[in-house]
Amino acid sequence: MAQTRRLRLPPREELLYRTLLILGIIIGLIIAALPFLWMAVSSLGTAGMVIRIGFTWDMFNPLNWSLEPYVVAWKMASISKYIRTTTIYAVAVTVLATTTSSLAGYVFGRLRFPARDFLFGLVLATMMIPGSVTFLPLFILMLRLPLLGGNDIFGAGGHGLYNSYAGLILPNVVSASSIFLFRQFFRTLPKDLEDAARIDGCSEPMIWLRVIMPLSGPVVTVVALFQFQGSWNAFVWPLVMSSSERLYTISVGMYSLAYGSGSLTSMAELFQSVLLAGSVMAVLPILVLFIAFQRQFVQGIALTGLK
Amino acid sequence: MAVGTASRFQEFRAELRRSEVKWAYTLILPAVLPLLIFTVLPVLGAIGLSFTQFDAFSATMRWIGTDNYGEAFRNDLFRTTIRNTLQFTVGFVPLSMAVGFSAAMLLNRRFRGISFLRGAYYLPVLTSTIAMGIAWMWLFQPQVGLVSLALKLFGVTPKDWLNSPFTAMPAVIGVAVWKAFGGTMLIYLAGLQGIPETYYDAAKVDGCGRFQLLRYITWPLLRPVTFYLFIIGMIDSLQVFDLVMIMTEGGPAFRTTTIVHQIYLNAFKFNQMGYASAMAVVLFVAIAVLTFFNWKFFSSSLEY
Repeated sequence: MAQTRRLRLPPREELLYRTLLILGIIIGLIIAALPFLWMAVSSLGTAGMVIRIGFTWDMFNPLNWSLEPYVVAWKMASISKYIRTTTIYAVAVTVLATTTSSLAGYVFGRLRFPARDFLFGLVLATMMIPGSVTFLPLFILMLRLPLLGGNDIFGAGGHGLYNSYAGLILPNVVSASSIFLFRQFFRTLPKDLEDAARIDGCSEPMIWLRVIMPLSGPVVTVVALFQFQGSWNAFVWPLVMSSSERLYTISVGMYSLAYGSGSLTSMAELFQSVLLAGSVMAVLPILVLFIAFQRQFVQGIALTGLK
Repeated sequence: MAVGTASRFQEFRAELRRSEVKWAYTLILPAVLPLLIFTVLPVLGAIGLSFTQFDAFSATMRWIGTDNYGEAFRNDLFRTTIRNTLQFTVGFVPLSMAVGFSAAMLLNRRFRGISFLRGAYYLPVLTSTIAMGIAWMWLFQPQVGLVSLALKLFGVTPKDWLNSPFTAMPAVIGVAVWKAFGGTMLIYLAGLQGIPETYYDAAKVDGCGRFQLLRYITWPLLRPVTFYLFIIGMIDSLQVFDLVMIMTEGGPAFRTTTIVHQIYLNAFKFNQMGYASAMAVVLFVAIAVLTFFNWKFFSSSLEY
């Protein structure tokens, strides 16, 4: 592989090169990791210490650590509620989007039907439409959906799906880039497999479920991971779609805490540590997931070039 | 007898085809229908709304033609917004690519712990922008923040980085680069691993040094990757929002407000849905043009 390409240099230059290389790698590691460490250590600061003196070496002494900011964040600052909402939202989006996208990927990759290329072109075209263009009209659409949430048949009178789980989740039940990824993968599977199943009288959904999906573990994992990570961190859509704290995802909740519209304004002494404790809790699930599935995350990026 | 078998076989095949087509439409419905309703329809909606004055809560709408666009191009704040967004782009795109490329060059080798290092470099990409924005606000804290403490060592006077007109945007760009370079690195790494080792061997036989290998082999062969990252970086830059919301709220004095931030403010704080839609349409057109260049480049480079 193109991994080791070693040039033969005179020993002294080789040594210098090596040293610079290692130095560069360490600097990169510090830049990438330091904010996380700083955040974690500051979040464990005892009352007032962090905000008054900032950096001291004492911060790294476990004897000075206190979980009080975490307790306050979890109980009084509603982080538990935000985490619960985010979990419901992220799991629902992941399950729904992975299912619908793999079904569509199966159909586009393996079946023949009229207008297939046109419809697939349409799916590809939607990939270039970003959420930052659509969130405003989408908000109006959800607010004015006829016959839902107190709306009449013209969409007036009530609030539609605004400020509801359905409103949060529904626009994310499918992902065009995931359809594309599934289709590319499914096209590489041998055709004989499903033909055998078809002759045996298997219907298409059964072939998808019993033949295709069991062979597609890696790609399903990649798509599910990115769906989960994306919806766990989602900000714009949950921000515009929720008006009550009950529906705040962790990002929206942390934003409201930081700008004082949450329930934490009166505790200035602990405020910074509590905010950082909340941030740690927002990052932790993704960190755990990443440690468990690092290979899949990295492969997914290499595979799609998506972020 | 043989004829009967053949026709029954054909019947069976026709039956299979019919069922295939029927199932195909049924199974793509739960994917294609939401895409039409929640992605295509809103774009048309934004275009329509951009010609109106619209209040979402009372649902009153008035047709005002192209007034919103005229207003946007006369409006000083919109001009500031565009300038800010371009400033962000000009800072973010080259920096995130340069840092990502350097990181890829550093980590394009094999030794124990390499995947841990790649993972550590990549981790910022996966984490919540809001959570890490809060962490960075703390790092930028004027008196006791790590940035101030570190710069003090070099004799720089600490200041309120996020609230000073000349440092707010560079700070936001810096955090954005920190958050994104791991992704750029992974894509460059994938590109580097696609370069055949034999090219390097041949060049080494010809007496090329390390720098020449980089200059005449690695860099030219990575050009498609670089172009792709350049376009994607611009598309992302035009939409920067989360980071601005959490770190500066567009301030100080609108120095860091961006297009999407203005869309959000106008729609949800000032109830100017029509005007906000006009800005969304402008953004959409810009992204469509960039996407077109990207697509054009990659469909023509396939001919080689």
